[in-house]
Amino acid sequence: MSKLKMLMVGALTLCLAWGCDDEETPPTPDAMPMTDASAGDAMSTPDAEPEGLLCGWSDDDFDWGVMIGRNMRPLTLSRCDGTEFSLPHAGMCNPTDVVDTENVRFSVLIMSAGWCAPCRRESEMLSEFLTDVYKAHGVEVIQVLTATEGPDLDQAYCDAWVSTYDLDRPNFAMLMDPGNTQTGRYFPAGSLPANLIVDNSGIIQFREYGAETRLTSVTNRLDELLCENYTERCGG
Amino acid sequence: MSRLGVVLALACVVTVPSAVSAQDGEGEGWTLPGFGETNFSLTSTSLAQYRLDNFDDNVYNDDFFSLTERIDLSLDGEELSLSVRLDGFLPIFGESPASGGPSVGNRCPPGEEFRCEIEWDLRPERIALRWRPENWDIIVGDSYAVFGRGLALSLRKVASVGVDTTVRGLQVRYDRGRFFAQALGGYANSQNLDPVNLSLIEEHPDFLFGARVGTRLGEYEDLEFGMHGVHMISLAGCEDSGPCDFFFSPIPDLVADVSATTVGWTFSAPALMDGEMSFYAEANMMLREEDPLNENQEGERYWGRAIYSSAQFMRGGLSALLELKDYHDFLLARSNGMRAFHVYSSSPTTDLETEQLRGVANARGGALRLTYAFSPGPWSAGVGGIMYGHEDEDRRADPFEGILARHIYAEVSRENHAGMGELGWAFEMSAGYRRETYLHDPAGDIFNEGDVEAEVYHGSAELVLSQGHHSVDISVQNREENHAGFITYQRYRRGGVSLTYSWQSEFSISPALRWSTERATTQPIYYPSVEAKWVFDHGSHLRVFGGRNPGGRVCSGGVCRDVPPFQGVQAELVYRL
Amino acid sequence: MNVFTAMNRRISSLLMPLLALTLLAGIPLAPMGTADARVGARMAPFTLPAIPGGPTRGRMALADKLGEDVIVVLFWATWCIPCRQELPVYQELYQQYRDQGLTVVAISMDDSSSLPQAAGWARRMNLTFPVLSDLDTSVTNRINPRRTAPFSIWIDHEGRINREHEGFNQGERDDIQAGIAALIRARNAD
Repeated sequence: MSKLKMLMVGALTLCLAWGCDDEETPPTPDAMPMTDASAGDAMSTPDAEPEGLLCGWSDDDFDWGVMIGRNMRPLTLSRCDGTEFSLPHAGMCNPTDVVDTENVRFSVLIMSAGWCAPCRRESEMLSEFLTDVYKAHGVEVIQVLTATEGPDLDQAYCDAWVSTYDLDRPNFAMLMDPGNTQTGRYFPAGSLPANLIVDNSGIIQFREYGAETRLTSVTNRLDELLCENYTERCGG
Repeated sequence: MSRLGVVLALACVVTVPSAVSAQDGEGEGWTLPGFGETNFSLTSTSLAQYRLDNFDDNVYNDDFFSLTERIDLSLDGEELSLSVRLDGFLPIFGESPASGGPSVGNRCPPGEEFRCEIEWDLRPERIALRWRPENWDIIVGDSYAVFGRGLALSLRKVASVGVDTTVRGLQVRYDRGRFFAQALGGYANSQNLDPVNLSLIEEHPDFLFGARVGTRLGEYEDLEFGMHGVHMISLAGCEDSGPCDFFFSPIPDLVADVSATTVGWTFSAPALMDGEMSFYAEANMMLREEDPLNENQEGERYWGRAIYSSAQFMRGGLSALLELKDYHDFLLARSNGMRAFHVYSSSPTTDLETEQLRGVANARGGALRLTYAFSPGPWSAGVGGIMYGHEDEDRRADPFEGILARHIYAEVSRENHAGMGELGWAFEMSAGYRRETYLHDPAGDIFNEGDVEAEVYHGSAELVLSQGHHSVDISVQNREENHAGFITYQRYRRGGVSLTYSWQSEFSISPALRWSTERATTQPIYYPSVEAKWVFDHGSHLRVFGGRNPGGRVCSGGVCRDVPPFQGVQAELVYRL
Repeated sequence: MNVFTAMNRRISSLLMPLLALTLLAGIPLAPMGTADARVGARMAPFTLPAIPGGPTRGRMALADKLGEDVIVVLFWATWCIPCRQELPVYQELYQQYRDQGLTVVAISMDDSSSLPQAAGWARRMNLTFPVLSDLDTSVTNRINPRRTAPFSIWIDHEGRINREHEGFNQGERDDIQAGIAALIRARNAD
């Protein structure tokens, strides 16, 4: 009996002492805290002319990804009326206008769905607290509908969304991505609302998902980003 | 090397206790200095799982094998006891494109590491040293605490949703019968290895301080009056240097430092009128201050209250339970989606256990439940009604400007106890209807005040038959749900049927079929499964599960989790030494 | 990953060998403990309040009976059907042996939302022994950490755990009757 117990304890000591002394840890997602956005500074100086970054260049030239600091993969989605919209604008061979493309400093992607009640609540606040407030600072807001609560995701549904939440603004675009084919990579399934901020060359500056933040974290980060380059937003 | 070591460590821990056979013996402990006569116990819970799919569009968290090991060690002395819980987790993936061989964790292409959130871990999740001299109870390390019914502070384990939170620091209790006092301070330590998603929750300690004093009156010392206070500090940002940076990383979506101070009283009279009536009342007031990190935004102060009361009358076979609640802008820690682990309170919901949590921080109303047991005789029946207003989006609005929830239900049960050799059976059935309607005009022209916001029909039945060493349990449930979406209603159905056969208490097998049409476009509708369990002597058991489980929104004890669906095989071995 | 997690890993790699060494050190100092799960170990005392409207009033301190009576601790919950079959069996034994030194205590694992119904069930089962509540789960986490229901613990008159058993089946009634009778005899023989 005692021998067995000693054997057990001895084995435990040996095993765990040997097994646990290694400090090597695999990389964790999102190890970079929010304020490390400066990693992207080299490519996002506001004075740099966004000329042909993506048009004609190949996949290998860019650091694609979904994490902060990476290039977002270019996406092309339809608006309510079927016309195409692409992000990032800079360097796309056929850039589409929302605000004057050269003056778009940041694009905010708001990913939503009809079944997501917090998404609908945040949509009520979009125009007032996001779109209109940051219009003069070169911020465009793009909302992407990824699914409905049942009906087909078509033009009628999309138009109804825009009119219900009063979203028709010059610096706002409403897009549809049924089945999450191009936006699904940014959030775990079902973790909506999900929001993304990209700068004018496509570098991801902010990403969040899964929590109803009432747009406070998005506007907070926008203020920080705008402060880095434009002091008038920060009051000096 | 590290991976091999961890595999070996876990394998050793799993197999070595199994090699030790249980034997009868005299109960004699050791004698350790400080502890006196000491008993040592070790419980090892090993869960080996092969996940085929969790139906979430992310192929990088599918098709892998994982080992979860939990070791509970305790040394129990006469007044002193030490307990440690180690949590370990090891995923083993198949071939990864990068390495070409079996890998532990991360096999996502560069830039998509976010999709590979499953990694190995080993940590001392709970450590506690407990000293219990007469009338005192002092715990250094991790401890649980609930003040009253949990409105002001509720740190405990809710296994069904994988939430387990303690306060790590110091807790002191003094109880002399007629007078008691309790104080605690430290930071909230949530279970980091999430058993539901198998992902790691990073430590983000919120600081908690609490104190409670009270007195007990009456011949039986059961008339209890207490007062308590709780202070919570949750820091969002960190300075570049200092203790903040040492202890934890900021969570990106927390944009303000929050501090909340709650004070309240509780009154409990569990046996009035010769045991026919019991009464409980609790009132709390909270001051919550939010200090945004963004200097351009102004800080805010919120005053909130939470009042709860319940009274139960029992006479003959009739029992009536009345509950009233008045919560207004009362939020200790926000819990939504991912942040279920930072919930430190649980206000009684006055709802049925099966329902979603609504109006946790802002609701007013109550519930009445009547049960009658036909005595003598095996029948009992009950009816209940629940009505309250809630408004969680704008916690400062009056709850009756939000949504009105009304719920009625009925249940009936019959039991037939039988002697040896005869057939005994028990039967329970319940059904109900819940309707939530808008008390305000929601945004847009689609829904209006008075329209249904949610509607649920639910029913369940359970029959247990037992004779001698055999017993069979058949259970069926179904819910028809209807929730307001954007333009129209989202309708779906969730339910299941299961049949469990058990032989004595040693073996049971349970095939089941569950269904859910909630995410019919991306997830299956039918979820068949089989589970078997063998119970050995001395608290050890082996449980094996194969098939599919729909998961879904599970709410329990004040916390909701979205449990993802699962398809695969699981084997759990619990061994006590 | 933050410093804290790395620190945890360092702690765990130091702690385990340390703990194991402590245990190793304890071995030569005393007779060996049994390998059985806590059977034979001393039962740790607890004090819990009676459920509102239950068969008894006030708080019950197990320490008052440890070392004197044969004690049965039963974990149950209102949602557990086998529990409602087990408790009446022990109620019969309690009525039969309470004058010979049998104490029975039931602990309800219900949380604050289902606790009010516990009293109704206790009445229907005609229970006369204490039925207690453990709202902050601290006692259950120590003694029945997996929160299995029903779960029964038998403690002999010297305060040592005699049997721990998960589940209940009508076929076990005879074994339970015989086992409790034997413990009572042992108590009264002293």
